[in-house]
Amino acid sequence: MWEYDRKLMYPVKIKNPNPQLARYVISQYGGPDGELSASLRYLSQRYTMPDNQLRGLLTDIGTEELAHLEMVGAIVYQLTRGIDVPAVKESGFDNYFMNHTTGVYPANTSGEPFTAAYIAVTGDPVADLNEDLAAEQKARATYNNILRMSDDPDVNDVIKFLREREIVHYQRFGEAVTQLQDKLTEKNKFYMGKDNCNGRCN
Amino acid sequence: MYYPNTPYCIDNMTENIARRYNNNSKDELMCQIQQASFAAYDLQLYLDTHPDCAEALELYTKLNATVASLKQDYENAYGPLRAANSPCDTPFKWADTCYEWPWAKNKEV
Repeated sequence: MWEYDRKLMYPVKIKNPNPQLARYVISQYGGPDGELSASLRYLSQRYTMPDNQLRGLLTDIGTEELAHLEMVGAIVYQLTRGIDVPAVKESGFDNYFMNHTTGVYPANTSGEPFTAAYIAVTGDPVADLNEDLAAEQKARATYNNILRMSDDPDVNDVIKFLREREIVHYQRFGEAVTQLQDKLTEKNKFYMGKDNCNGRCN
Repeated sequence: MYYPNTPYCIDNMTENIARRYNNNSKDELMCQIQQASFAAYDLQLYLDTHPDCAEALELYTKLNATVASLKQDYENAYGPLRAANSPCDTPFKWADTCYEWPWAKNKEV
C-alpha cells in the first residue's frame, strides 16, 4: 500500500503565472507519455512479473512516477494562480479553462482526456519491460519539447530534474531486461505455460 | 556513479538552491530532507537491479537514518509530514489550516 509524505520529491516554486506554458506541461500530467501513464503502467505490470527483483523495481519506479505526477500537477497549479480572463483568452488556455477552470485535470495539450489506451500490460515480462524502455524515452522526448517551448527558469529547473529521472529509469529498465534475458536463457522457466503451448512457447 | 551524479549535484548548487528555497530554517531543513530522501530513493532503484552491491546498501541504510532523523526534527517544529505523526491534541494537525500543502505557491497556504 502507499503512504504519503507531505512534501514534493523536488521543490516546485514557480513565480510567474503562464497559462500557455501550463497547457504544454499538462501533457506530462495526463498525456500519453506523462507521469500518470507511467505510474499506472508500471504499477499494473508488476503483478505478473516472474521474480521479486522485477516486482520491486516496477513498484519502486511506479511509486516514483506518482511523486512526479504530483510535481507536474504542482507546476500546472502554480502556473495558473493569479491569472485573469484576458490572459486566459490570449494564451489559448481558454479551451481547457471552459471545462476545468484552473483545476488540474488529466489531459494532454490538445485537451484529450487521459485513457488507459495509452498503456499496455501484456502480462509477458519481456514485452512489458520493452514497453517500459520506450515509455521512458517518450517521456524524455516530451520533456525535451517542453524545454524547447519554455523560457521560464523556475519551470525548466523542475523539468530538467524530471527529464533526468526518465533517463535513469531507462538505465534501470535496461538492466532489468538484460538480467531477465539471462535468466530465460538458463532454463526458459519464466515463460508462462510451457505446458499450455504444446511445449513450444516462445 | 549513482549518487554523485544526481541533479542536486550537476547544476550550480548555490544558484539553484537560492531559486528553489527561501532563506529560512524551515526551507533549509526541507531542502536537506528532499536531498537525502531523493538520494536514498535513487539508491533503492539501483539496489533493485544490483541487490548484491554492499557499498550501495551501506549508503542507502545511512541515508535512510539521516532522513528519519531530519524528518523528526521537521515534524517537531513545522507539523506532521505523515498523518499518523499528528500530535494527539486537537485540532487534528494534518488538516490544520496553518500548514501548507506542498504544491502551494510561495506565501499561499
